[in-house]
Amino acid sequence: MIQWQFIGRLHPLVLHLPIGLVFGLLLIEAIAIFTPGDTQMWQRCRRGFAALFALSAVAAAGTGYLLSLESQSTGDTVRRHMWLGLAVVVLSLLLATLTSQSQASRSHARSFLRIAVLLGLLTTTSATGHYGGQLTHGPSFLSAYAPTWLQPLLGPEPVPQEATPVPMEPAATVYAGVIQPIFADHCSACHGSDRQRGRLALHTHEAISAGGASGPAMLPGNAQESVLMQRIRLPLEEAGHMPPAGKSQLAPGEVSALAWWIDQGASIDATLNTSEVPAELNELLPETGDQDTQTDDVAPPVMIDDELLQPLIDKQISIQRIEQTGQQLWIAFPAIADQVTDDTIQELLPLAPVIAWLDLSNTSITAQTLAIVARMPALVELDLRQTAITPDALRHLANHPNMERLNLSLTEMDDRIIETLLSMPRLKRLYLGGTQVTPAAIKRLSAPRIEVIGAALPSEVLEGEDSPDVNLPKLGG
Amino acid sequence: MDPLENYYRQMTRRSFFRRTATGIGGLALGSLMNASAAPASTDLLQRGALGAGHMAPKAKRIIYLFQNGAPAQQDLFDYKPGLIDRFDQDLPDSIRGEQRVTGMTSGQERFPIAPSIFKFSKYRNQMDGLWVSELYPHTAAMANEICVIHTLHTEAINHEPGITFLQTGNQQPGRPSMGSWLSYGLGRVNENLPAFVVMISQGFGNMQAISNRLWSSGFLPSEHQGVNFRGSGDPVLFLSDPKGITRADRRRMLDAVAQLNQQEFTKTQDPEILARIAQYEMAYRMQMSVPELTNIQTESQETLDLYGPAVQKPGSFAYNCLMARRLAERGVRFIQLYNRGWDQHGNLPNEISKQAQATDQPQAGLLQDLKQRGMLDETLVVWGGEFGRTTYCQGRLTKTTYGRDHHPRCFTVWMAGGGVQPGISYGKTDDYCYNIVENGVSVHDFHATIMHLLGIDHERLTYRYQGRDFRLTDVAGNVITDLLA
Repeated sequence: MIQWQFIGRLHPLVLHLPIGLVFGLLLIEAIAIFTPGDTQMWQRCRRGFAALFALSAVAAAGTGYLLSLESQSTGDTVRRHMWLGLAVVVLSLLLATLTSQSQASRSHARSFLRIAVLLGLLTTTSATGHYGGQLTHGPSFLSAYAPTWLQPLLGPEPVPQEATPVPMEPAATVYAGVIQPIFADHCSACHGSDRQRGRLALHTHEAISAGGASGPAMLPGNAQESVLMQRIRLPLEEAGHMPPAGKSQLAPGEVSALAWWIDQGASIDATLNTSEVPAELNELLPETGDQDTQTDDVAPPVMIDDELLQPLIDKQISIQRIEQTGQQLWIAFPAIADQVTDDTIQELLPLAPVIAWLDLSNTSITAQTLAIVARMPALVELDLRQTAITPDALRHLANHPNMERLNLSLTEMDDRIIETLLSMPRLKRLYLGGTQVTPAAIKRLSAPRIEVIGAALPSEVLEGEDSPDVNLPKLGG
Repeated sequence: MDPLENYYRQMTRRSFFRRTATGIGGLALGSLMNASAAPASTDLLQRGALGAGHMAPKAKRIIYLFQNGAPAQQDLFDYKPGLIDRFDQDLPDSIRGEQRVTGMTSGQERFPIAPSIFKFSKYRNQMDGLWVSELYPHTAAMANEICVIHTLHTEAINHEPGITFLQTGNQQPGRPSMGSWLSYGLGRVNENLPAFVVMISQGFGNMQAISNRLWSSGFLPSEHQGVNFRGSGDPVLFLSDPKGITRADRRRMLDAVAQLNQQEFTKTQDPEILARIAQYEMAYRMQMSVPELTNIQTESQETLDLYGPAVQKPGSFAYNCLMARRLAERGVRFIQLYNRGWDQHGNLPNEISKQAQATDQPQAGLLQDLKQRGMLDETLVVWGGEFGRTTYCQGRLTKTTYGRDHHPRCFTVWMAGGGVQPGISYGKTDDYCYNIVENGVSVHDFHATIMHLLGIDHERLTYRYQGRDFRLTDVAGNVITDLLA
């Protein structure tokens, strides 16, 4: 038994016949004007073609109607397409009637009417076809590449090919910032403001919650059982998979994001700060610093440009993240230590807001670099091991707001640096092995909060069967 | 096209895309949604497949002093005074239980207890003291810095599977070694040196074979394999240009070879070609970096003295320790030393004394050197072998000599620096130094903890191969938080 859905799906096939025949009929009229004889032959042609045209128009409209039942589409474009299609059918029947009666004499009025109907058919057929094309390919299919003076006639504003990156504020809502764009990119062509296949729209939060012909699209709190997710997760070959094969598919990250959002309750106003983002999804979200706090004064993430980084990386400076989901950088110069000068460090200044660990060990920097480092307030760890800086130079670092770990091993540091060090409010660990800082000064530093680490003190023997003969290594000095 | 050849091409194409897919981590959602937009600037900051560690690392690098052959824990770190009175008594069956013995001792009629003939002393640490034998005075003096684990255990009974297990997480060969995982996950810090360097020193006792399978990259791209710096002569063979060839000539030659390789790559998409190109480039850079690295005359005499007199001899453990520190300074992430000669099945007291003497001062000196430079907090140092040795004697037991067989149930390793809790000992073995009584640490737990210190969640550094996600810790391993500072 033939299923009605199959008949309906013949619509894209059948509709080409009336389109072709419209032009065929017009062609006949045109040629008939220039060949005044053979009116009988032309009359028979017209009759035949008009009858065929009427039949095919009815078939196209019929299959079209069955197709609309199957896809349960609604929307403006569908409606226009339907009414124009019906107009084509009506006009085609009129034409068939007009041409069926044999003409004993050429009646100008009749010819005039016939041509008028034909032109009317040309218009309605084109318009029907145009809307039909929009239904299949999207509202801006024709207008996207059309000349600009023609665009307003052919469809709505085309979606810009290169959208500007969505500016991510820390307080952006998950829905507006993450979920809505996913739907806009992949779903709104068929489930949007223009067309709602299956009576489902996905372009607003209301519409998503409302669901479609087969019920709710998603169950807030339960992504696993949401039809939306089930359809998206079907294998591509399956008939029910969404988006349909051939259209732009969701990336795995987008699928996870959707599932997570639904599981979190599919809220319209949850923000990135307050939601608990699972670790795997952190990669998808823009860095917003500490996501646990609900502070409103979180600084917007610093966008680091390739143009800034590339020349530094080309110089073999090692610049890398400290951790996957953080913005902070660890910068070191192991490959080029002996070529690093104050100028090299100067070039790092644009990155200052995100430099947390800076390793300047074994480089040829001078006091000038420390002046530059003083302008890096985000610095937490600074390694100046085996550099030629003087105690005087360290004064540049006085009152540094965030410095926690400072390595001054094997430098010329002496007791003159104590005040500078004490002025750093967050200093926790200080490495002074191989310096001239005296034990008394170290004692001053150590209380209350700074741990001073020098050479390892050998552990003494507490008890034993026999004290071994040990040559203890020299103490650091 | 021949269907087999077609299949082969498909396989490598798939593996190519799989590998690049693991590298596309950490994209900002903005770029995800605008696929046509310029790639996010985060790409340039990515190192390795992970981009960066899952958490901020405590240890930026690791120096692994692997003691190949299995040092006898009873004679070094695990003090069992009760055994002295049990000299030549049989090891009770209840203690030995169902243990698998090697072919060497299965023929023995008796299993007499062999207490250590070395004297132990207790050194102050952050707990109630650490007992160390007279063989290791310098190391013992660092008791405040080291975290000694007495209860590591393994399932392997022989060297090859034992070392393979400790290096790759599996007794059967074929998986990537720890250093390769790190190189793959975190990449390099210094572009001019490999991420994973291996140095081998010969010992003074019974030596077991080791092969470069132990630092191979397994199924990971082969540019992550360990690079073995040789003990004598040129650290890397054929690194320097032959007479008459200038560096510019070498560069032109490499560019031409790279072009040919690229052509082959576009044709077959074999990712190993990319690995080969990368390694040629690395070798070129190492031509400059390695001679500078091995020039130890720039070190001060005090520093050289820390490691003992053998430091001047290339290929000795002392020299390798100094090299390890220099490599650490130059940003190499995984520095592995293999010190051979600990496999004392017989003549143990004599051989182990020599082994200990060659290793004691250098390893303590390394810790001292790192500490003095303020590098110990960010460098993880690990010491240990592949399993322990038996309390019962292998071969003839006399008052002056004895031997010990392999013992997987408990052995001692220590760690220092790099976020490890200093000055503690962890785990207890029973009085016979045979079984674990408290706080056993499996090799997988050990690996998980090391990974954690390096900023990696051991469950999330994986690689898809043969249809499943492999990782260093396979399907086991827990981070032991008691060991963390």
